[in-house]
Amino acid sequence: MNIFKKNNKNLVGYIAGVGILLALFVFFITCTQIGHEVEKRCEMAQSRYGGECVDALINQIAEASPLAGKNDAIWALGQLGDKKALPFLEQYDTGKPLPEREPWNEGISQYELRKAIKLLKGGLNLSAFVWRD
Amino acid sequence: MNYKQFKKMKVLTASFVSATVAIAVVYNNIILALAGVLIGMLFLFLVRKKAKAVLVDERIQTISGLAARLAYVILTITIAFLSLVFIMIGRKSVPPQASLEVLGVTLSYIALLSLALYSLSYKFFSNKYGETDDEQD
Repeated sequence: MNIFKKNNKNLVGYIAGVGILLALFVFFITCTQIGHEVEKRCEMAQSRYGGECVDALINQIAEASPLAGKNDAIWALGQLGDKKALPFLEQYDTGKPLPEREPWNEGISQYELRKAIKLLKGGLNLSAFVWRD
Repeated sequence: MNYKQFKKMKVLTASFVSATVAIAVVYNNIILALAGVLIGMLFLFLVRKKAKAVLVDERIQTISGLAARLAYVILTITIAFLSLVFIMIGRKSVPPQASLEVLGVTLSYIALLSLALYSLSYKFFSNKYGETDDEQD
């Protein structure tokens, strides 16, 4: 009976260990992918506007055209966590309650904007430590 | 039941299941397909239980263990080597190829996961069989 209990405990530990390992694996792969996406958006913005990554992303958001990938740039700024972009992003915050669903490619998404502002104000970004230099 | 008989049973069951699924597809009846697969699985499970003494032979276990270990070693070393190559190529090429680097990093995580899973499984089985031996002594 004792052996059975011990074996069961071992099995539970093993299954939990495998589960944790798989979860960590998925987490690290996702973080790497996020880092890659941020880098891609930076490169795209830099090829269009030049300068440093954050400045190029800011220029992309400031552009008059509504279809300039503004929300992608806002997301990337939030992920990068450079506080330099905070005052710039805050000027776009309408302060109104969030609408139910916002189209991604038609102007600035308030949901994405507030998420980025939260991250820039020191909100927890779990994935950042994996890919940020 | 010997191993040959068990193999025959497996082939027969597989034919039964495929025939049932084929009929189910022709008549557009998903319940028949599910029932066929379930019955086949249940039948094989019962047969396997009866033939367990013959099937779990030490030689087969040793061979499969060795094959699995060799496959693990070859795969892990290959993945680790490839990950290094991809990361290096990704960083050194002009302009840097971020996609290659990401592929390299992903492969290195896979190699790491494989090593960690191996260690965990080794620990689990050494605990399991170690304890049983101690109790028997």
